[in-house]
Amino acid sequence: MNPSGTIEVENFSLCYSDKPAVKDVNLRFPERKITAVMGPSGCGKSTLLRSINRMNDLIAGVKTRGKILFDGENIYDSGADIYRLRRRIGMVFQKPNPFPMTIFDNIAYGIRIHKLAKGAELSRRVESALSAVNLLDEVSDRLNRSAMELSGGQQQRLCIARALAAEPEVLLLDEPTSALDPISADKIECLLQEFVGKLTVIIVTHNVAQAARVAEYSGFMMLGEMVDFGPTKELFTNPKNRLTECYLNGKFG
Amino acid sequence: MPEPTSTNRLKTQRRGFAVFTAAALIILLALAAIIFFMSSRGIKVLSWEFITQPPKKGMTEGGVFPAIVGTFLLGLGAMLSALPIGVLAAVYLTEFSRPGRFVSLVRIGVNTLAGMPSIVFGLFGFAFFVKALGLGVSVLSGALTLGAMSLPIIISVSEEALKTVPMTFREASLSLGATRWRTTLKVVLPNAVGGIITGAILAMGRAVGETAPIIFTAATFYTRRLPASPFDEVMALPFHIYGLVTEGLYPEKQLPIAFGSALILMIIVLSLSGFGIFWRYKIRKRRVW
Repeated sequence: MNPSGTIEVENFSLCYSDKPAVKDVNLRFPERKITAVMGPSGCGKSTLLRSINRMNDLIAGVKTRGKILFDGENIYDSGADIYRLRRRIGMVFQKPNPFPMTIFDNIAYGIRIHKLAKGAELSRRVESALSAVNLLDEVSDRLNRSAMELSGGQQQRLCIARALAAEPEVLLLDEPTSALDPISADKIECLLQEFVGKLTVIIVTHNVAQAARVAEYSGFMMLGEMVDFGPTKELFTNPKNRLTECYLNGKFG
Repeated sequence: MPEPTSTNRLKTQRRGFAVFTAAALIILLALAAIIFFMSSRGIKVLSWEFITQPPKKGMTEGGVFPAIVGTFLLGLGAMLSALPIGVLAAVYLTEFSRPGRFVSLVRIGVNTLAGMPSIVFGLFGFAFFVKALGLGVSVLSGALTLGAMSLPIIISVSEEALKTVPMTFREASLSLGATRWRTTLKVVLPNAVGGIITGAILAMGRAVGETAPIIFTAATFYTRRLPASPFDEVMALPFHIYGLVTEGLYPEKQLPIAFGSALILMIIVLSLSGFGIFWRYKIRKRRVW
């Protein structure tokens, strides 16, 4: 596994047209650990997450200021290769979104577009990605069936495997369990622990308990600002900011 | 004033609904009337010979085989010419363009094209394809003219089909580091192609029924043979009907043939639409997202 994967956010702001969504955020996501970003709906946590792999580029009228450094290089530099960037920074979305293709082709998609492998090596990598999300045993006899036949939880693990197959160094998860039943959600939370030490994982969640369970570090966002950030235990036992304390205690959310 | 009772209110409502129902019924009646009238008048001349034989004795006898073939050739040619341009334009509009002056201009252009009277297309086809490009009065000129006329429909059905592909598929592909180009080719188009083709079949159904665009560009009133090349002129059902009714020396013999031809044209158009609608329904039912 690649021994890098640092994400440093420096004075980063983002506006949709004239509406500010992220305001002057500064922080360093610890590498190869799990960091959770919490906050109420509309606080800018998903926008911040999507800034890290430049998925906000798709939206017309988005303006950014400041830097996001990935392994020391600003991803917003004019010469940055966003296709390589997105291979190295995988993403999993709120709603499972497998392609309407076979299970195999779903996983192989990233490997094929980046020409990482073909033939027997491709098959091997597909299987290893599926086993990395504990899905291989469940689907090994139907790799050529449509991914749409899987359950929601299986689909979401498939989407994680699809991102892993492109060999990323960072994995971004945008409320990955909010559309799932508790058992499927639990499987994914357990799965994330297996990535510690291998991948930098950033998970956006509005579920405080989930952040407490899975993340070593946590940040709390409010109205576009990162109001609190630190080791999860400290944040939960001794929040520096009164807003964080209120949010963690369920006073709003 | 006393408050109206609930029975009175119900009565008013029923009367209101009756008016709307009647309006809806009139549509069905109109359709039934056309089908019944054309069938009863046209069925008399319909026979195997009528469908498979060329016309004889200056249109007073024989069949309409060349006109049926010509109608299909023109429709097919129109789709072959309009589909590539229409689909590419739709892909540009939905997948690649950013809102701006150029896109607005293209959209205005598409709408203007859609509102253009078909006779204008006919004259344009004559001036451009027949004369300026020197293609002559031919299957090719007629197909290109019908194709130009069908472009706005092809573009709009393609855009509809592309828009039904969920945004989340595009996001998934892009987030894996695929280019927009690759995303369109591998994820968007494969999921839109069914909708595009069924839309094209519906557009073809409309194109083959048109008379004005082919009068000066493709159609001939009377020929006993099929076109040997795309540069030959051709018979086509709509123009054949027009000719039978307005020209010739024996209207009393020609009119029944006109009704027979119209019935066949109607069957062709309705079958194409029926097939397109049925196929679209099947695709929608099979859709997994």
